Amino acid sequence: MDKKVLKDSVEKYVKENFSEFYGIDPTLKEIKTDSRIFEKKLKIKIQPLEKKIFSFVYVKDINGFKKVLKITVDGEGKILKIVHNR
Amino acid sequence: MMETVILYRKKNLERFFGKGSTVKIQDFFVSFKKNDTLFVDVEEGKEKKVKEYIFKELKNSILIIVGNDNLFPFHRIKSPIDDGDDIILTDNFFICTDRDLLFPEVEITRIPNSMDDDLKSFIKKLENIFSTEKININEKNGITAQIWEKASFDVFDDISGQGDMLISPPFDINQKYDFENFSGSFYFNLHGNDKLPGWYGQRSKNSNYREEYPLAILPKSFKKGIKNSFCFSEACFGGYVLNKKEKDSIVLTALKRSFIFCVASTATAYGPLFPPSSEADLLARLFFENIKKGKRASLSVINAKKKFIEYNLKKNGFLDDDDKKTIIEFTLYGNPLVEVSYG
Repeated sequence: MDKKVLKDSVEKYVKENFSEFYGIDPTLKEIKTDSRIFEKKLKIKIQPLEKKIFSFVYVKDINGFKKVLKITVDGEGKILKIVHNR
Repeated sequence: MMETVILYRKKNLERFFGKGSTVKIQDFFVSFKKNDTLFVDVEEGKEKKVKEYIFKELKNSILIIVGNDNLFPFHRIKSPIDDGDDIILTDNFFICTDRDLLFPEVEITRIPNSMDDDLKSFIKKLENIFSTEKININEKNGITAQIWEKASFDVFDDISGQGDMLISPPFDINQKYDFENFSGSFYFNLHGNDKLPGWYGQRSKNSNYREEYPLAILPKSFKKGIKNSFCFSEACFGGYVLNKKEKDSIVLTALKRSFIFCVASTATAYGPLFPPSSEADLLARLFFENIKKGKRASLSVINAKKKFIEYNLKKNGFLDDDDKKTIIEFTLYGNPLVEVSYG
């Protein structure tokens, strides 16, 4: 999926489910993990990732409290994980 | 018996606590651990050499860092996630060989001083923290923000012991809460902030409670009544002790008065609103699983971090930026040797 289309798809999800973050420009990053070191240390085999993974981070400030929403998606726009700051 | 390696910076100790303070602190550790203690003065700029020495000769030891950032600086690393934190404080530098400081290979803890400690009060703190290596407990306690109470109960229900978790709101600092004679484990899943001393709840979307972030607890909540206890706190900056006085930090107050160890985060921490557990919730769950098995505190922390990495790589095939941050920022403070039994 084109990055612009991916971004629009996540924006739509945020608008519908986390409206307070809608309109905030998120940071977008491709996630890369060099798992070779962990395979060696943990003595496990890790299936290589066949798809690209991206994270969208939304940050806002409410009365001195930072509020962070982070959404991890694959390259097709499938949501893999949603987390919030503590 | 495992060797303990005391990492300290003499120049800073003597400047802060006065001339001769290093010897007095060494005397404490010698009297506590007898013949199994090695002292390493980590001079400024020699950190990499000390790390090489640790991995060559002392990999099976337990490292104990003496002091807060002013006495023994935390390692600074760029936050993997663009959440405004910029730099994270971590002790992973001495225990990881990978570039990102993720995979822990040596047990470590830190005994932080408060900025208002003097040598006498710091040694008193050491005496309290190292007063025991085995505790037997029956109780557990917890406080969670309302908004992620389901995620929190998923963790809390698996922690050994009898007890309740309070939900904030409605629970807040104005309600009397008595820790008199409490001896057990604490699990906190609340908000925190690098500038404020307390930890805060958060109302759920459908709550009628007036404040979004009610103050749940303050350092003074842990001044008395608690003994032989420990905690895992997921609060953002719950373990951020940099330049703090005792009254400004729950962790510093708790370690001075009643807790023998705490696990907490030096920066913004993450977790889900609902099960299944991930990020800090998952790390807490894995930590308590190890504690339940009778593993000592420092081994429980590194086992939990290793399992956290393995679990995420097997389940997802990747560690994303908040997974990485979770591993870097959660820090053990206090006695690493404590083993917990139940019943």
